[in-house]
Amino acid sequence: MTITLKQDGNISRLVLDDSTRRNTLTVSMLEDMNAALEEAGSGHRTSVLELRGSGDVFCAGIDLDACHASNANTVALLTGLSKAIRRLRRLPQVVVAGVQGAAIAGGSALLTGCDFCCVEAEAKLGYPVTRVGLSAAVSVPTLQGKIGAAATRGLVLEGRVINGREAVALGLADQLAESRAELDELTEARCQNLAAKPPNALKTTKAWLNELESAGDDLVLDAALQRSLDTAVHSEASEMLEKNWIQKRTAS
Amino acid sequence: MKRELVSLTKNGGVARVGLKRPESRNALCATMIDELSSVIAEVESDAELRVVVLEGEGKSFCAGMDLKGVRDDPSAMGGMLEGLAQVSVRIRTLSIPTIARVQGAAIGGGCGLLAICDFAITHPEARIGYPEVDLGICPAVVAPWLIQKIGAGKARSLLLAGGTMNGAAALDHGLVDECVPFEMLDEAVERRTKRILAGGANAVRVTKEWLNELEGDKIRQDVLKGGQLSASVIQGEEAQERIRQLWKD
Repeated sequence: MTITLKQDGNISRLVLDDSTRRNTLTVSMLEDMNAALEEAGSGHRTSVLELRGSGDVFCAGIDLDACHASNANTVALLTGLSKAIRRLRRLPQVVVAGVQGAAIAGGSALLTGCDFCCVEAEAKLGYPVTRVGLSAAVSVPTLQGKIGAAATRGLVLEGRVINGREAVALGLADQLAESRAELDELTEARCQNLAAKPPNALKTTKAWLNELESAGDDLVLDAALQRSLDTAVHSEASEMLEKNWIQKRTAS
Repeated sequence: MKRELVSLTKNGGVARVGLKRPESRNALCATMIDELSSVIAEVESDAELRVVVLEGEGKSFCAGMDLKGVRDDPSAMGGMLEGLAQVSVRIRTLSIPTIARVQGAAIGGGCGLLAICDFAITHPEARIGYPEVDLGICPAVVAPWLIQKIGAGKARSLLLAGGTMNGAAALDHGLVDECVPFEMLDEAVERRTKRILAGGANAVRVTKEWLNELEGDKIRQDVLKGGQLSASVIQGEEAQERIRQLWKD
């Protein structure tokens, strides 16, 4: 299994657990993640879900090798990613992410579904996907909810990679850690703090915020997913994946 | 209506709306909410007025809802939350700009008043924030206004985290527009007021009305719905238990 889920008192702990591959989101990993989120949401009597990645990198994004191999893979990956964003957003638990190393593309997309995010100052985040012919559209509604329209345009159109400090300044994350040790400490402290709060007030407030923010609605997110899918099956994507991913990686 | 807990003074186009319950840090009780509504109605009907300054007498701007006064009456708490939702819509939809002068503390419902004003000015030591969830209460009334003011992402983390912050942090979060040394608070409010008065009365009014129109009806409906949601949560056992703990012994 590349996902682990544990219930620890009032906290559910979900870990992306494939550190040898920098927690790259594969089709099976996303399936496991979505199953784990469903399990936590329906079965766990907890008020907080912690989302972490094992190893040095939170998440390196979706599996581009698989995208290069077939369109069917790409469709499964983007659909699974969209589902994970929705599940995170709609969990009855408040979701706290802790990000070390990097949360690139699909990794950043997962963060947009979270309620809180603590990030290492030197971590790399952002959506450098247009250079492989893909579109971050799938993440745009929830990203825009977090950082606003102007910053979203800058981030997804330019494909710039930002560090943790800038992520906090923009609002993609909301707490900064100077080191891995501090990241672990702050993330845990926040989970414990939230876990001690009255659960009904927390759950009701999250549900109300979801209701107010149409960015999490299926209509909006379905349209966003469709844009990413249309882009991914365009011939440009396979050419650019070949040129800017497969060949560059082989060369290095 | 005779008013004792909320004052209104008018001078040179400026309406000063004062919360006058300093012994309770201007905590909002049902009477106060009614009086505030009546004051705002008077402001609405006076075409000579061009700007509103909302302020609190004494050490604090507003410490939130006066739960202590209705500690044994959950349904009264619910009624107050719905009343606050209604008056917040009324203040927001005024045709003239509003400035909150925030000293000492703006907590919970008091911080809600701050969020609906067009401008809020405070000092670094003030305590500001939404600790509702800590008390088992859902800050549903302020949520739509706060999303509008600081964005959905920041509103989400602030409201779910609970707690309070100081004035300087409130400036960083975009909750207030200015944070000045305490002794310069009046001067800063005065400066802002004068700047608004220096604009064309018609131009400012049309602009404010246009902003209200752009904001649309949905947010006002959401706030009223939030009042009902918040009222139902506060009457639940979880909130009542936490509230009882506040005045234990």
